[in-house]
Amino acid sequence: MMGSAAAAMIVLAAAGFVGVDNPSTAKNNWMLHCQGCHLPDGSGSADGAPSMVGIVSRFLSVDGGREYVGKVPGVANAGLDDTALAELVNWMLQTYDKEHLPANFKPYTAQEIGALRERPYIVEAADMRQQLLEKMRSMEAAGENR
Amino acid sequence: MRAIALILGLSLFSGGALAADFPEPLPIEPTDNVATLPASYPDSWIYAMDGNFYSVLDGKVLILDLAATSHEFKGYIGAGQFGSFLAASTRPELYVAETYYSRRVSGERTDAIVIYDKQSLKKKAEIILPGGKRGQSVTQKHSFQFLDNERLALIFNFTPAASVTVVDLVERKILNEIPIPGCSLIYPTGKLGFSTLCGNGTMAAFTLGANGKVTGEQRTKKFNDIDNNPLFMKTTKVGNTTYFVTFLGTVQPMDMTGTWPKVGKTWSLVSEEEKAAGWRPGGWHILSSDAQGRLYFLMQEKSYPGSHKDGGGEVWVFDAKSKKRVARHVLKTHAISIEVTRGAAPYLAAVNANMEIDVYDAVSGQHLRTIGGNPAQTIFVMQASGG
Amino acid sequence: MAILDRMTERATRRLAQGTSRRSLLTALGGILVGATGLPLLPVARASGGAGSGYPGVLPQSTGDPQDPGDPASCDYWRYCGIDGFLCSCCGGSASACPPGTEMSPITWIGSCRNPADNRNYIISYNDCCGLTSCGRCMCNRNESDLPMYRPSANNDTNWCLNTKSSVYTCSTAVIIGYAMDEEKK
Repeated sequence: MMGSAAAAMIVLAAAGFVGVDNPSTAKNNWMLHCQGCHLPDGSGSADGAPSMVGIVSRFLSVDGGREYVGKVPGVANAGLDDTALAELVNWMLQTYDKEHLPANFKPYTAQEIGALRERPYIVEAADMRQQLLEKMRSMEAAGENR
Repeated sequence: MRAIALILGLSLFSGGALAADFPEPLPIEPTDNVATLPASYPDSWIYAMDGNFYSVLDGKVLILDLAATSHEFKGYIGAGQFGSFLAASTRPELYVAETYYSRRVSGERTDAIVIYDKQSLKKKAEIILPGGKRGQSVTQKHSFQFLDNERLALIFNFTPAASVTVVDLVERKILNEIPIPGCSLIYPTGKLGFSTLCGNGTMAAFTLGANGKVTGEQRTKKFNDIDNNPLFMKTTKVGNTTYFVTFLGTVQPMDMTGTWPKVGKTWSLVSEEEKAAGWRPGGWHILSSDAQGRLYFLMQEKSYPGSHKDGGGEVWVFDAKSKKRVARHVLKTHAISIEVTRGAAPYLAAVNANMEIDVYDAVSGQHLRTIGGNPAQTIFVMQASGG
Repeated sequence: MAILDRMTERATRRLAQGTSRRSLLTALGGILVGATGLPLLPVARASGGAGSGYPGVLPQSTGDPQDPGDPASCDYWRYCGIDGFLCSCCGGSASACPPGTEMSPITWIGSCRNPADNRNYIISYNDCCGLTSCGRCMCNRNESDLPMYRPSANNDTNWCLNTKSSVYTCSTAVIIGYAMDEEKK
């Protein structure tokens, strides 16, 4: 897993990031604020921090998913200002799940992140995630039926 | 000195030459003789939690009498692998939340609340905690807290997903698990609720039903300036006010007695001059209070970024009402944690740099005695009994 | 990992040394944070060289002048936020666990300035797990430590998580990155 993520990152570095001024700063902030629990390759752990790999950008395609990404406590509570956090989220979406990035992807701005992080999810975080995952599943099923 | 006298005595009296002075022999003593403790401990007793970092599998909770000039060590119970501890005041029970493995360091993991009888210190019962998720850290009082007049206990879990397990101590069963991602530790609030400190500088509060389910939620404003002057996670209570303090010595009073926590008006322990000299609270358990309404803070001089756990050489005493400093105790030995007893004549206990407990008169600051004798390896938290 | 040191040595030394520079930095408001989000550690802590280690612990060297100091001493530059027994003293190294243990994948991460190249390195303080406490070289430094409500920056936690055993053995300080912007300053 680590190998494929590393390979993906090389491709991305060549392709460039949208909404990320300085990818190396974003990556350093990922290391300092996220990686300890989400692991270097973003794969997370059972009963711990969820995996980002191949999933995190899919939240952007379902209703409420874009808000979820900004309100999930790992994002909202990070010790970063809104600008650095928006860049980190944009970097993360494009690093750990570029393939599911919507074609019309609009990067998070500092203002949007600032507004979302004002009230992070706490008790409801896991339920919200489940609901969004179910929406993804039904969207997929609908796609297959078509 | 006494030991030397005893040896001299023995040699003098050897041969039974003076048996005539003692016509009766010493009484015959029964075996199978095990000491017991009173059901309610005097105010001067404290629990000293030894995480025993040098063999963390084998921590313990010592029971000590700070007033004693003899027989100061009353007993102890086990508290392994970053154990947490609670002492009930409404029934004669002690609770240890701990973790162990079936093959000491490997095998099946068990997390449990072990219940001890306060008089015999014998294990009475246990409640198994499911999921292998009990949070393990350097001892924190707020990782394990009573609720609902000691009917319930809340335990902090960390996997690293954060949650709280609600346990019915009377029925001895698990009621619920409440996820609190992004937040940490447990601060009992109101009649049947708790608050938790969150990573964005707020406190989130939850009300519970009798079954341990969440019935309501509110959040405070952001009052904890985590990146510039963060709150320590320790508290002490005077009257209806729960006191926190920040790394740089700002006192943050909170009213946790109502349904929702109320953020009080801050004040500073240190003047501008003292701040410039680097005075601030420092150590592990850095604050306490007495029954007379005084607050005690372990203070360090010449602090620097990163010295917040280094302990300190003085204890500053403030009147909670007037917020005025009423005493400044220079400690005999640099200390890392303090606790004050609740009696009419309070004692100040300070875990010193040698991991002994220095006992002071809390009011005058006079050093009374040191409890040492290598009883413990790494005591970080003490708790006054008072019941 | 997590613990206060026994203070006997380090704290007393610190008290004796307490410099006005440190006091001034504290007065300025605690931990300063740079543009990259990396805490700028104010005191370049080169290892003290000979005699700075623990009694009965033989000195070590990386052999690399760019990685200076004694990894078996608490003053080694990478240990600026470490809390626990140094794996270097326990059969491992600053970046490796001792034989028979498992390195926890989950950890907290901080940063330390290397006095040799003046770069600010990102340090992963992975705990080693599965043997009883090593007990050698207890070291507690807290230069980017925050309380448990910011777990990604907290060293009081037992980070033996998602390992076969949660029994804590010792702590490492692994270089996982560095702040490139820092070099320009």
